[in-house]
Amino acid sequence: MGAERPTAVLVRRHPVFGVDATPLPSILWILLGIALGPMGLGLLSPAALRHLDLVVTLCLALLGVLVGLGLARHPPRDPLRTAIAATVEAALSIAAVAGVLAWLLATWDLPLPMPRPSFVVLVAICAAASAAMTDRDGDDALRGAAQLANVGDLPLVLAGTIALAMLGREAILSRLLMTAAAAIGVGFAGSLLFERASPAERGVFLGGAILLLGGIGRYLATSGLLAGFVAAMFWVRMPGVADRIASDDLRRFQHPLVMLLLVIGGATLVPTVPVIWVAAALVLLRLTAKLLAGAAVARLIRAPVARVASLLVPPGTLGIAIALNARQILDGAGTVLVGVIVLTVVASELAALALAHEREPAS
Amino acid sequence: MLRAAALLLVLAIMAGLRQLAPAPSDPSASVALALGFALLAAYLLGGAAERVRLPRLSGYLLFGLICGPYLLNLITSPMARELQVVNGLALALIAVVAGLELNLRRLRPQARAVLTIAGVTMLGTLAVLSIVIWTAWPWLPFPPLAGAGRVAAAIVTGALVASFSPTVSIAVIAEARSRGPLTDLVMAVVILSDLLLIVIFALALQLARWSGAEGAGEVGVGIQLAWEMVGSLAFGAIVGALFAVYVRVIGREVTLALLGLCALLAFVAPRLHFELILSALAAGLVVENIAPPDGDALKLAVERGALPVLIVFFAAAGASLQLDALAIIGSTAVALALLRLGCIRWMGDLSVRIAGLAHTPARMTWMGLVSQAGVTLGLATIVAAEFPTWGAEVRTLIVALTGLHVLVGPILFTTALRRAGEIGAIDRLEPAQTRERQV
Repeated sequence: MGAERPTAVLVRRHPVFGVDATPLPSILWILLGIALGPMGLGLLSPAALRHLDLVVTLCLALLGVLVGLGLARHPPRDPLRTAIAATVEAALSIAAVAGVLAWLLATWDLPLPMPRPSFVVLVAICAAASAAMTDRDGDDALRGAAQLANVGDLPLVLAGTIALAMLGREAILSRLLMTAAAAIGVGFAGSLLFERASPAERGVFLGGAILLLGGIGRYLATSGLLAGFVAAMFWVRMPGVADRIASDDLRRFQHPLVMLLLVIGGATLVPTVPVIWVAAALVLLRLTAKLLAGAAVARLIRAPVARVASLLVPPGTLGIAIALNARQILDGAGTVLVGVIVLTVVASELAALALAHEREPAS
Repeated sequence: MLRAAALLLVLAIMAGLRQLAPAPSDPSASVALALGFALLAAYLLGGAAERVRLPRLSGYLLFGLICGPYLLNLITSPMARELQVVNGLALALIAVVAGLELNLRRLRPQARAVLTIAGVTMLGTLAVLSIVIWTAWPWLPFPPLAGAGRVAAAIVTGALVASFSPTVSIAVIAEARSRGPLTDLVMAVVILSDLLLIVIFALALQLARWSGAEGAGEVGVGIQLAWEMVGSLAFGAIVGALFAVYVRVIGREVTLALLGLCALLAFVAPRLHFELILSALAAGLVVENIAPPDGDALKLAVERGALPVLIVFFAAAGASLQLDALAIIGSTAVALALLRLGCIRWMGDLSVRIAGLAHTPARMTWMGLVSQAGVTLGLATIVAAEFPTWGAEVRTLIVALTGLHVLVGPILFTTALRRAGEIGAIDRLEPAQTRERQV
């Protein structure tokens, strides 16, 4: 036990709660996106990417729902301890990355398309996402790290939504409250509809609900992640089986949509000088921050320090999702953010592969 | 009751958002909201329409009309335009479904009757309408024309007014899950009429170019027609064959593959100047008649994939109905709509008698030919672009007429299908499959 074959590390990636492992590693989908995008073959032109904005909106809501359903339907063995550890780990990662990156950017004086503080905070939130491997036969450290990464998605969803709302129009609090209230409304409508519907009707109702949740976030310039999360929590809390129906039916769409999200992320990459510089720094910062934060909280989940820290290195889809969400709100200015995160995810995947390779002989 | 509550809740959410938050300046920021709202609320309103014996499609259209820019304005004009993002996909899907339902072996005994009914009804209606439009031209709200120019303009306008909508008729059939003699006959007649319309329209357009020296007819009409029709059919057949191979060999995620096929057709066909409906129809025909798949995977995929696309397509059509066009040109449009209805009725009866079909369902064929929709509007847009002196006025008339026919057509056709006892026949014929679907 304890040894992950390097290829297995890539294959058994588990981006967020409730999402099954994808048949291909996320890095391949990102590289496919880069190949198809304007930098490569040009099949995904900027105009085509604008049309795919709808897919991003849909994915955000879907990921939000899956995080919510996963949190409620597959709770960790010690929920409070794991929640504290995950929050501390996310907060430490964000603070470490944001602090050093802010200092670096001030020193380099790189031209950025948005205010430096906003950029730094968003980059740090996106970079804090982890996707520890899931392996139902894995050891305690592996399971602990996976739970930490999964529960850690929740503070990132919340922090990401608040940061995005602050980037948008005025009336931040009211927009956030409206997002949550409308999502509860959609959740309630869904719970009235799902249970008594035929399979074809369920597809319509669930599809409509997910589109509405994503649409609410997009319309209010907040995030479909939050709307999806709130609706999922509502389905879990309501009597009935709405949560189970949503979970079972959404499984069919999760892989194609997550793959599309990664492809869109890859295609959006424009490797300008600031993007490459910030990404290079971020890879190192993220790696250090993840190792330190993981080590800091390992005792809380009663797992070996070194293993938990290294298991949290693989990046998550959530980071790319939040970056694409920011691009929807910021338009052109968000492209730099997406580019930085995409390059960081690719490099961090490779770093995770190297770390797993290092561990293998030891076992 | 629960569904009514859910509908009210969704309406309240949308009204609240529209009231409390200003619409984003970027129209694409509202697409997902409009799509989700349309999908949920239009479907629920469609169910309510069914309860009062109206077709579900009418419920979707009414949803669009009521929530659209002219009444409640929950779906604004930019949102309605963005909703049309599904139009190409929906047209392709509807035509593929039509091809999948057209079993040529089953239709062979009816071939002569189909040709007679389509030819007599289409050409008869076109002739009467063209003559009336030519005669009444000075009194219609069109710029004055004389001589050959007026003849050509009357024929072009007549072809547009006379056209049928395979889209709506096939959508009614798919949605009502009907099967039987009337269903088969109407489906074959509307498809053949669509082919005839394309030929007639291309010829009339060329005639108008020659007579009025307007528009630029650089490409010979023969070559253009051949490219449009033969090319469309060949392209569709190739894509259909590839899809059939996928279904047979891989057979997984067929719903997504079907939607992918339709997206491919909708994206590529217009860029190659092919007729989308013909290409998609050919794809469906190849799958059904040359390489029919084993099992129910494709049927289930159609059922899963078609429903949401149809809902959004018709809700968007309802939201895009230009009521102001009807207000501007209302009396002329109503008069022409009544004349067209009379022509289709009389010519339909005549053609059925000539074809020697005495059975009752066949006498109701005309009721399936009244709808008009996207194809007619598309052709009217071409006319407006090619003939700036009179085309824009004709387009306004066609927009108003389409608005009337898209509302009345599905109601008439569903009534005919109900009288013929063909609604839900697919479920009755395939009870085992239905049971499987309900599990």
